[in-house]
Amino acid sequence: MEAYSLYEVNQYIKRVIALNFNDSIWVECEINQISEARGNHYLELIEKDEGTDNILAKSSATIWYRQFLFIKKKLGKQAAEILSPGIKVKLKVSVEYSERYGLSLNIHDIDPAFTFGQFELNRQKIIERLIKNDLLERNRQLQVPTVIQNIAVISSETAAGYQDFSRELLNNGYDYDFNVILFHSAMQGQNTEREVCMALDSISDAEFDIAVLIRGGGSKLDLASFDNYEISERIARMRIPVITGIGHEIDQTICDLVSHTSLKTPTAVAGFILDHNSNFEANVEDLLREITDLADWHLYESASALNRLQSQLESLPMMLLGEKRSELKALNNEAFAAALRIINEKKQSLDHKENLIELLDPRKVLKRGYSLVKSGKKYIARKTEFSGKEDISIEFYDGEINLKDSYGK
Amino acid sequence: MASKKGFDKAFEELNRIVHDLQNEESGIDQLSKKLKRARELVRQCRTSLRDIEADISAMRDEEE
Repeated sequence: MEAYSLYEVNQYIKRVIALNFNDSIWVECEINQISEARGNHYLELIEKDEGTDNILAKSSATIWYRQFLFIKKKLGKQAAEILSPGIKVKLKVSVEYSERYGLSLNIHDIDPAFTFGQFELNRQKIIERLIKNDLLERNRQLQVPTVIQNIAVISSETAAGYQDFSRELLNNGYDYDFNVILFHSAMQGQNTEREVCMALDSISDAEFDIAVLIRGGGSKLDLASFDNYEISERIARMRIPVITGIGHEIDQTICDLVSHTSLKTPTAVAGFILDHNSNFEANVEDLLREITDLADWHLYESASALNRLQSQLESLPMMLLGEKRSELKALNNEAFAAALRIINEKKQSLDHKENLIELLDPRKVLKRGYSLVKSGKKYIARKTEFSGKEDISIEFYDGEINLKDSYGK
Repeated sequence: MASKKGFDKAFEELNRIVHDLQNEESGIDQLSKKLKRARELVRQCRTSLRDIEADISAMRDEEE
């Protein structure tokens, strides 16, 4: 059997490949690793099984310096974001084979629309999964404590967003004190998922009133780490409200969707906390005012009632005295009237008696022509009283005569 | 002489005398004597009543 030299074999392979890949082609894959040396970028491309996440294919690829300048000019800032591990990409490659270096994919162009489309697709899948597991509204149903004091912050120590948040919260105009504990985590790049999940797992709901997830502004791809199911699920399952302040973007990340409250910036999160507490303070002050008003009103009412009672107390005895005085006066008048009546009766009675006496006076009888028979001093009123022997005198109204004297003459 | 007795006593005596005179219980000899006494009692009673009346009026004036 004929034997070939390695070079001959490789030359053959090179020819086969060149014949089959004479034009460049578009490849959809995921960047697994990327490194840069002397302006050249060396990538490891993979394709994963959608269900199992197992790697189905793996290849090395290169963006030569000249190509990179072209891509960078075309994509601008997005170039660096797309050329990151974990990003799904659509690359225009030429498949080349070198006898000495083996197979290599040379990247000439990148289609950013694919990457963004993948992001959107990915987002939709995550959202659907969260809905299916009943996690989308879960954290929102928790109640923020009346006063927020203990705050767990998940952020990067050096991130500008964290600095903004701390400054806004701790130098507040209300003089509110907060216990803020930082759970350090990468907020961008490959480690974000793992570190944010670890941070969320280590926050004890007994110690903190709320958890705050913050980072400064970033581009859409920067914030792509937060379109993540693992992080979102943890946020949803937290037993304390999670407030997010992730970047300035108009679009919300999935972490924002599952959180209790999502705000645009870390500064806004600090403002939210301060407003929440100052609302409580205002309520307390309102209640205090209400209590004071009520107390004043009760005092006023009681004082009025007391005054009413006092004036009643003052007028009542006078009234009773007045009544008694009137009664007394009436009784007095009655007494006088009765006395005068008695006197009048007596007067009439006396008049009557006087008339009787007048009528009984024998002189009145004498005046009418009657006369009285007397024997000495004694009146003779009956025939039986007369013996015929005694001296008799007759008394007339106008004088007395002695019968003996008359007989004697 | 019971001239200074009170109204009630005097009035009672007067009543008795009038009663006696009306019923002719006392003899004619006592007549003028009793009449005299009755007149005196009437006068005395009137004076008494006048005094009492004056007293009452004075009391009333005092109160008003």
